[in-house]
Amino acid sequence: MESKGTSKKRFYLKWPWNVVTYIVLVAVLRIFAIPIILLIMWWNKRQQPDGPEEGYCLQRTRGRLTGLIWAALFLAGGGLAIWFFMTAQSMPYEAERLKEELSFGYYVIPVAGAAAILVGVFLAYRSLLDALVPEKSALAQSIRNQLPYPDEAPPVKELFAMVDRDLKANGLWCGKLGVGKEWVLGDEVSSIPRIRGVFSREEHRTRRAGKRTQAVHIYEIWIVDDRRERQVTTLKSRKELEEAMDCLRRRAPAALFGVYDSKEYQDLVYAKEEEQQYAQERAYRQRKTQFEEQERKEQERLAQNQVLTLPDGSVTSRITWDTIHELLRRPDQVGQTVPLQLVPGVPIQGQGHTFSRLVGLAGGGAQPTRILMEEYSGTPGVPGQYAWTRDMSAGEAEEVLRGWLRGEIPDLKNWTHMERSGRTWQQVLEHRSRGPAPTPPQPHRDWPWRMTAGRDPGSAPDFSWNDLEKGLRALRQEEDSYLVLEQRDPQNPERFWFIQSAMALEGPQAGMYAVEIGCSGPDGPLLWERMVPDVRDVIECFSDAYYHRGLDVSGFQEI
Amino acid sequence: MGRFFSDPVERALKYIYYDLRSRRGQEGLQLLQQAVQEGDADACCLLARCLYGPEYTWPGHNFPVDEQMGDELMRRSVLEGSAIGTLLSLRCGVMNRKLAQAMPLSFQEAFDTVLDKAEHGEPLCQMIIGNSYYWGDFPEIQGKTREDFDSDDAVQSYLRENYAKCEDWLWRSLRSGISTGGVNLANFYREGKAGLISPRPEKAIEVYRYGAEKGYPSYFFYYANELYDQGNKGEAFDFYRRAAEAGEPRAFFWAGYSYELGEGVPKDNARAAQYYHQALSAPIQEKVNPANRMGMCYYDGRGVERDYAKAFQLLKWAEDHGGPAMLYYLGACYANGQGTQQDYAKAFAYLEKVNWDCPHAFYLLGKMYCNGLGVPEDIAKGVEYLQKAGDYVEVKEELRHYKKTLFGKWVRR
Repeated sequence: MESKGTSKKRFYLKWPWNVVTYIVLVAVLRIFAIPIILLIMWWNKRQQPDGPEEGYCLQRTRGRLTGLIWAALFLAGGGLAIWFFMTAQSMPYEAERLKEELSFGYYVIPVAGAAAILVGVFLAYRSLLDALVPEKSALAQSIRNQLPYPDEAPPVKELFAMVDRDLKANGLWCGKLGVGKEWVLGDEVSSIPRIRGVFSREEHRTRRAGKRTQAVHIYEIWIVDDRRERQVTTLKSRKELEEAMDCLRRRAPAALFGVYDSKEYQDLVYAKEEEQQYAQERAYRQRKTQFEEQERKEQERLAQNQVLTLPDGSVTSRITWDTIHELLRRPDQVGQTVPLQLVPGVPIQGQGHTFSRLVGLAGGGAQPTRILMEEYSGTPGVPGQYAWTRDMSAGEAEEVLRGWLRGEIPDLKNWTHMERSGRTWQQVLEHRSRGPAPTPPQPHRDWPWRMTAGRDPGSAPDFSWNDLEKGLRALRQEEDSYLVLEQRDPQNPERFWFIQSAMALEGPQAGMYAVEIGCSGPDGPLLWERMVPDVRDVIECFSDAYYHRGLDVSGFQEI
Repeated sequence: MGRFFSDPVERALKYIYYDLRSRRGQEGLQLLQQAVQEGDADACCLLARCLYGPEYTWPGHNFPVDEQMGDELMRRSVLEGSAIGTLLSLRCGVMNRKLAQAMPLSFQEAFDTVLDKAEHGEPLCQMIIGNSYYWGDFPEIQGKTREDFDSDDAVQSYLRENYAKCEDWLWRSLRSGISTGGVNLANFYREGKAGLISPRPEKAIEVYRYGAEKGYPSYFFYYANELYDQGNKGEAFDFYRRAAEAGEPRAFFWAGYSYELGEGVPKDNARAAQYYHQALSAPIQEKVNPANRMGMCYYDGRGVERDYAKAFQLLKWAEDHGGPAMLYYLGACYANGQGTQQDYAKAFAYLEKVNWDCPHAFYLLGKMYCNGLGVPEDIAKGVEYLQKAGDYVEVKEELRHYKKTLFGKWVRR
């Protein structure tokens, strides 16, 4: 059975097979291929929920192949014009008639045809260059232009990876415009620290041709950088345009925001005087400083994520290094140990465990300071069963506490593993403390459940216990028959917990059910396994996990 | 020797009862303690009253409470022949048959002595005499029983006549400068005496107004309460502030509240928080409201530096002590792990009760429903809450994660 971490990758049509398929479909079905192509494109996108595997930039350059359609239209149009002219030339009577009717226009036909062919060839060349030679693509050039020294830009692979990483981690998407924390990917690429102005363009043009009225809507976002160069991205709708402006407002708050061709736009783009440019840059810096100060205050507010209980029983979230230093040294002044407690709002993960409380008994310079870190029980407000403790110097304790405030857990190598015994703690017996993670943790009460069944790829958030039980009873001794019940931290999808089961295919335990529990750890995923003979045992495990009844983890072995 | 009591006792009386604005109550207490050590029987019963609790003197003095010591001092006062002690002992539960037999003065002798001082203008004695009538101690003092009267009508008439005497004495004490005397006078007007004297609540307000005009701190507060009940909030807040400035602890909350609302004064969150803090440290019973307001100030960083731990502690304390639960704030603390451990189930329990237009609560509820935090996942309901939450950045960002399918179902993007 495969573990969750190495579960099968989803199938999708990779480059260039997707293009080949589309071409074959067009060749065979002609216009009827369009819905099928759209369906395949939708399915391909769905099969890559974490974004295109090839990367956003490469996908974007390869997408320029659509330019071949325009190229083909131009070539066809140009070819048709020249063919028409040549045919007319071969018929003198017809040629004379056309000369009379069209006069000068007759001679324009071959020129226009040749021009259309040239445009078509150019478009085809650009499309193929963008799609097949990313180094020379317009997108790569646009990224290079945003670097401080374009001539010293790294290879295109690194350039694209740089933008992709940012978009994958921080990307907000408004149509085809992706806004990360460092980069904006549209028809061109902009570096956010260089953005000085963002302008929306919304125009509606109507054209009358005979009885028909044709309306053209233009939705564009114009980004102006610190060199007064403009990157333009065309969007589909007003909604996308508004969303894009909102996203950029959040990511580049110090930039000027306005409407295309407004006074602000003109002033920014056409500032020729050095003095004027300097004033604009100074105003930008001032706005940036203001926003950074606001951000700092907000961060300070968010940093208040722990409750410090002081020796007199009072509590505070305003914890500074000075407070910690003073508390740890206070025993030198008062002549006795000083108790303190730190409780994080959200339990801290580290060293393969989750911790919900730190208790300290400061000894000052004369006595060691005792620190005890209590493991999280899995339920808020319920005391943990295990803890880790160690005596240390005040200096070392200060380091541990500072780390704790940053959400970091120290290496537990020289710490003693303790177990709750009534109101006190006792050392965990040797055979139970063989490793840093002796037993799997319980599922998280607040994280939502998702179910994935082996034969039905894709996880389902809407399911009941009956669906789950039915899925478990349907497990067979087949390679793709497995069921995963999974949780992910909504705040941090990197943190997960799951229980999964399948039947062993071969070996002495063939036919038995393997139940595995896995979770995220600081050094990668952790996995425990237990073999059970009956599906009822499997159902019991899943039921205890699903209903948070305290899953019996005693028989699970870490693998 | 003073005119009515020993010098230290008269000075103590001034500091404790007659001149509250001087804030020298603690000095008065020390004088009484010294006088007790020197064997002053009157000082014993006066010190006992101080130790019985703020309602016997004034909460603004912040005297320690020690009822046992108070009882001991009161007995000592009676046994050592203090006239005021003998009368006051009737009101504090220490008088029993054994003590009555051992006391050197009879109740009537004690009453006559105190009455004499009262008639010569001693305010405390005027109040004690007034209270003897108000509380109905006079039959015991005069040794009257049912057998002394021919008929029930005679009894009624005797009681009516004597109860009514409290009015004059309590007014005299109030006018002479002892604000405590007016408390029972106002009660007498408001409640009357069942079957004997009808209530006259309008006269009670007169008492409070008189006290307030005289500048007694507690009367600013009482009068403000009356004004507030009548719907005259602006003037009420003004009197609450005056009371708080004069050191009346029961008015601290209201003064703070007026500064928070900017009611009759410029808005001043720092001053509001300062008053709430004073209310929480004062020897008063009513603390849930200042605890809730102070909790909110700490949560929002209004007037004080933001401190979620303190905010949660105060808000939870207020709720646990019978105060109204600040549903949004407690829900937000639990949902965000601010000042307490994150607990979505508890957060939901608070937030779902929010039944007014509270965009921040709707945002949290929307997020919880959409992500199945503390409740079963329900994206449609979550989106509904998010749409109700308004148009601020976090809401927009959260909404961006969901889309409506062609069939009208909300799904995650």
